[in-house]
Amino acid sequence: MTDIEESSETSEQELGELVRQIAYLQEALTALSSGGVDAVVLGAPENEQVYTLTNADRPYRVIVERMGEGAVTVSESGVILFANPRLADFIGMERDRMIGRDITEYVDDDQQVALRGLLETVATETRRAELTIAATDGSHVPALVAATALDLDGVLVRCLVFTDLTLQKQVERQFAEEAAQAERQRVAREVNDTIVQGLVTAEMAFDLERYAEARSAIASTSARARRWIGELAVDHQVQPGTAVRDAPPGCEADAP
Amino acid sequence: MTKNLNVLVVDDSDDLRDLICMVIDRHPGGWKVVATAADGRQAIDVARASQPDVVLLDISMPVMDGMQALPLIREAAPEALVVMLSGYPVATAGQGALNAGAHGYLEKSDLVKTLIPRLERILNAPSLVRR
Repeated sequence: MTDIEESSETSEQELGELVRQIAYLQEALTALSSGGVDAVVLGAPENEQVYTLTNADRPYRVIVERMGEGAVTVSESGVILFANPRLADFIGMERDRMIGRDITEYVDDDQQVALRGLLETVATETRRAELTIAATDGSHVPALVAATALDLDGVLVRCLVFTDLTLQKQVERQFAEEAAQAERQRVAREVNDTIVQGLVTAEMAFDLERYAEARSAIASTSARARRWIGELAVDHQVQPGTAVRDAPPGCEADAP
Repeated sequence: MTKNLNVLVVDDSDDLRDLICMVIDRHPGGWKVVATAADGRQAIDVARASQPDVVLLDISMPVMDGMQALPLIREAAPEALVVMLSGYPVATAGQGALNAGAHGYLEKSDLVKTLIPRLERILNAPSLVRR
């Protein structure tokens, strides 16, 4: 082989190598631009550096995946297109199994009307309603649901965000129980005060030999007590400070 | 026997108020009821106007109860002794009333026989300090 032939063969090999490198770089650029690359490793093997790549959508995806609220997108007819892990937790079902099912399956029967109202949300508005999610384990999770209509490339979908109200409902129940207990104690005090007051009045009137007043006090107290017991038995309210001391209409007529 | 005592009677029951007034007015030492009131709010104004020596103040009343009125009455009539009246036993409400600034606490039961001697005891108590 002559020197010229040898030189030509070397050039062809170098050219081939360059073509392969260009093809490799073109593939890498295509992958980068299409979002198919998660990270790039640069540097010599003993000093490699890893650069992770991200795009503008990633933070939003992470928020939806990790947020404490349940989120779902549904078609116009209510078919589930996407559900985040939190909603799958609420319902107690693997989220992949939720895709393609009807959202109405996961809401109590008596709240289907409210759900339909949410699914009729039009663009530019957000509707809210309290619904109870029917979990697969038979439990019921109260939730505030916000519905927003989204136009995704010409396809109308609704995004529903579920906020768990379990803790809030527990606190509300506790407040209601405490208020009811305080009300029972107040009524008991009112009734007790007035009966004691009537009896003390009667006792004093007897001691002062004012027998007519004593009888009147006993009769009046007795009539009031009967009336209140009757009212309490049918769950009527005894008004603070007044119903007890001011004889209800007809009490005096009851007196003998 | 304490003499010439002016008393303000505060109770929401008209009948009971009249009977307490009767017991006080019968006292031979010249005790007299100078004013009455039917609730705590009225009692503050009446106490300020009449400056009584003693206020007999019912605890349980509408509009403003005796415990709410107590500090305001003591401010309106600083020289008056305020004695709380209640149908509740002393063990239930007495200490609370004394802690709130009352000079004494009387149960309403058997009041015809006990009102005067109990009041005398409170008025003559060596520990009584006019606060």
